[in-house]
Amino acid sequence: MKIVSHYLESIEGVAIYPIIGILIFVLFFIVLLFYLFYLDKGYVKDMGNLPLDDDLEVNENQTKKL
Amino acid sequence: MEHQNFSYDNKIVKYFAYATLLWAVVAFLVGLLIAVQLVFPIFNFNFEFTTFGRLRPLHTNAAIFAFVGNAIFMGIYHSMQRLLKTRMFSDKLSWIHFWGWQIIIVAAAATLVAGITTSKEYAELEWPIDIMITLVWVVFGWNMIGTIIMRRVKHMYVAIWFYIATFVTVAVLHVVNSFEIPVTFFKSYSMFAGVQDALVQWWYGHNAVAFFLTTPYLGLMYYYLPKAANRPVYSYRLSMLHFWALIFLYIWAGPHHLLYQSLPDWAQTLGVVFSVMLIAPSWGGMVNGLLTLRGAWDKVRDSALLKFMVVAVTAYGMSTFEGPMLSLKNVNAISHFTDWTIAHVHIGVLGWNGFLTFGILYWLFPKLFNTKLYSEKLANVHFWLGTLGILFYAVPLYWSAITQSLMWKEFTADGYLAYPNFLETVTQILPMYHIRIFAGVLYMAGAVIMVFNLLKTAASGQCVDNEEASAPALENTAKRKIFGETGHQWLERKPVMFTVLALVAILIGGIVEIVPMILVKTNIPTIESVKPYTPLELEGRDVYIAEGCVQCHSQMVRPFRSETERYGEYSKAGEFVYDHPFLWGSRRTGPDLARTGVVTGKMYKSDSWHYNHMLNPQGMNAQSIMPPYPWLAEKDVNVSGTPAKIRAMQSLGVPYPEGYDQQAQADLMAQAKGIADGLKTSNIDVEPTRQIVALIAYLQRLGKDISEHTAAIEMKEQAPPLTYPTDIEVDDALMIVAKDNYLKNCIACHGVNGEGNPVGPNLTDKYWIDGGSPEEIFMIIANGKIEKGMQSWKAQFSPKDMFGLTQYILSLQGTNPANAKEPQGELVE
Ligand code: HEC
Ligand code: HEC
Repeated sequence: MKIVSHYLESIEGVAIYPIIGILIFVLFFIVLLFYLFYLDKGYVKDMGNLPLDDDLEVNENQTKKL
Repeated sequence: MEHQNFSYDNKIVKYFAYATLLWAVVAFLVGLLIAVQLVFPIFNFNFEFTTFGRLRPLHTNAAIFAFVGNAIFMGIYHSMQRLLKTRMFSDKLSWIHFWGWQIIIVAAAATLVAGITTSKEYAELEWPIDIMITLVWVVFGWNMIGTIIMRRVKHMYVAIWFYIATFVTVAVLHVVNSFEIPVTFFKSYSMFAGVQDALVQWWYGHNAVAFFLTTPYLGLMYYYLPKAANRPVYSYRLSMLHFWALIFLYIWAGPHHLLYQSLPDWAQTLGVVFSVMLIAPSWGGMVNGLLTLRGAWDKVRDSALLKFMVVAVTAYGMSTFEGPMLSLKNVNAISHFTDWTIAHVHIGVLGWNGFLTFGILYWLFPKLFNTKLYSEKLANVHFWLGTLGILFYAVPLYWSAITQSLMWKEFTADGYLAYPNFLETVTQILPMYHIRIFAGVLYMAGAVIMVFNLLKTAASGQCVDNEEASAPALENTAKRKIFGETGHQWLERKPVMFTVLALVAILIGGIVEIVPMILVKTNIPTIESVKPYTPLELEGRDVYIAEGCVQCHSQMVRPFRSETERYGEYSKAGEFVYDHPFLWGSRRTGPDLARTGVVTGKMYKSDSWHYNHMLNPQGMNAQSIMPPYPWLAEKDVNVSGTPAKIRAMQSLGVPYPEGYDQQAQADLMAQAKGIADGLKTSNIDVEPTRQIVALIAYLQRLGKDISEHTAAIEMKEQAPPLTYPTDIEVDDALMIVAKDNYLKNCIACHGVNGEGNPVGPNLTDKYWIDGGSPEEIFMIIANGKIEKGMQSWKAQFSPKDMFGLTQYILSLQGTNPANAKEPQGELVE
């Protein structure tokens, strides 16, 4: 596949694509980390338990406040 | 609060489960057969529908789309109803989905063995089936989103996010990679050509692995592992991170390596960082899975199904570590075209997909049928057979990959290839292929035991097709964010919005990647001497595609000395501009064929050699593992279809002259007659319309254009004329090297003892075609007689080596070997 890269080299300014890519991702990632960090504990616990209580008739997750 | 009664649809889950079992056995069985074929070519059965080239895609498609596909749907239909506390949106859509998918699989199997294929890996199916897949996929998505909208649970569990991402991404990939222009109902040409086609194909290939074999299975893992262990996932936060990081990164990480390799250094570093970053979410996921079992390891010891899941998650970690490693430039230089890739994908499919599926099946069957597993013991036997199967598969293939790669690259002290005969590097790894067969038997046996065990389980219980359930109705949820609700929680209530955002996440990556791919076309320098294929060559190329030669042969000489020495000039992007589709291949089970048609090249063989070799490779080389293709000499090219193919090519921009389609048949017949007449002089009688004639025409075309291009340049700097050396002593060392060289290079045509074979003459008698004096023998070795099928060796051997070969051949005089060929040429006393 080296041959491919060789010809990509000739595209002017192709390096901008990975840069844009990494920038968008890093920004997104930082926001995501902050978001997850401040996420409500009770909510996280309820969500984690979702698969387990799905056999029960009443879903506690439903009735609990967010 | 209002309580609603409803029922879960278990019947559809049961059907997908049975389909999973059926296709698992089929996929493994075909895999086993092709593993056997690679050691014993006789198991190609001399029968077109069962040759390796056609069965290998059948195996990969059966494993990925039939076995794994049905397992995905089984898991999604089962877990989604429960996670959302509702029945699937529409029973009708469920059944259309089920039967549609099975029909696609059967149609795929039938067309692949019939040689109807686009030749693009994991996308081999022809356009009518592509359309069917699109329709059924839409039905699946519609049913899934509908179910989510009808849910009775406010928020979507992380598993469902993975399902949604799978749906949208596979849809995008499938559509983009299927741009093709139909010629007949069973034949189409890729819209893209050459380099661009390769880029799109591997963008697809990489992401098909990501979004068909990985994301849906992560969804399944996040549901079934907590279920089986009866404890919540270790960190739900981590699973959210896993999801977003993975779908954001995956779509552009893999194929981006292509780009990075030739960018400025600092951009390359970025690229490496990018793909190494992919390890982070993947390993985060693995750790999350394994830690879910914290405090439950005693359970793992006793439960076969948990053991399956633990190995599956571990295999996921291994593959996702190995993947980025394999895309590093220097590792790739060694691993590409070898069995390494094969070993890598099998860790993924046998370990991750296979074992997770087995774990889920062992959990699901007793639940579905309200009973206990028929035999825990048999499940444990299955586990050990499967685990040993994976080990015996992967370890020998890594070994084989490294061995073969090193042999390809080894040079002697004098600067010649240490193993110029490709076949030698194949024979060397055959013992590993024997072990692989054994591994296949183990894995297969385990699967058969599982099928027995599960069917027994099913028979001992009763499946409630419609399982009653009840849950509170979902309160009328607010459209806008409620007080105290975070953005993501709001998003999880809005499935359509969520789907759109997931699509945006993957499209960002997709667009960043696709744009350079579109740009690349205008950046490929055209090479004057590269011309479109003649009609006969085009037909030959289609034979090559139909027979799946690309499964074993690459057409891509990389710019390494070890490759240019062996095959000839390295491949240039401008050579492929008329290749719809590209045929670079991914595994070199046989030698690269990109330079086969270069008359002065190292790979060149005469038409008659090709003819004899295609009909019976083992006749030319007892150890060859290439399948015989006798039917090519019996089946005709469909000449009446040629004009349509020319027109299709024209519409893709291949510059045939206006109205050439009318001329095509006549040109085809003329070229074919020329080849058939040439074969007659070698006592081969074949109708010009036979497929083999077209195939030979195609093979002889490979690399020809570019060689004409460089021949002109090289004319100027010719080497001094070669003469018979007179100052070399004949001693034992010389003769030992000569014998070795002879055995490595000459036996394909002159036999092990010089007795000759249908192609090459007897070298042990007193009759010589080209003169029997030492000087004359030396010259024929050096210059060859290309039109008669004798290669030129001066590029490969030093004058001393050729002098040695001359002495060796003279020493064979009068040895009267068995099976000696009748004398040819003149008597020389
Ligand atoms: C199972 C893998 C396999 C398949 C499928 C296969 N080949 Fe081969 N091929 C080989 C191997 C191994 C060799 C080297 C040994 C030999 O010459 O027979 C080879 C050798 C060749 C050679 C000779 C190359 C040289 O110069 O030494 C040609 C030409 C060739 N194959 C063409 C084809 C064509 C055309 C097809 C499809 C119709 C095909 N092969 C399918 C494995 C395969
Ligand atoms: C691809 C098949 C092929 C291979 C490989 C090959 N030869 Fe030949 N060889 C031929 C053919 C065909 C002829 C007959 C040429 C002719 O008709 O003039 C020939 C002729 C010869 C002759 C002249 C025989 C005569 O009767 O005049 C010699 C000597 C010879 N080969 C030596 C070698 C040596 C040494 C090697 C290995 C380095 C080798 N050949 C490899 C096909 C081959």
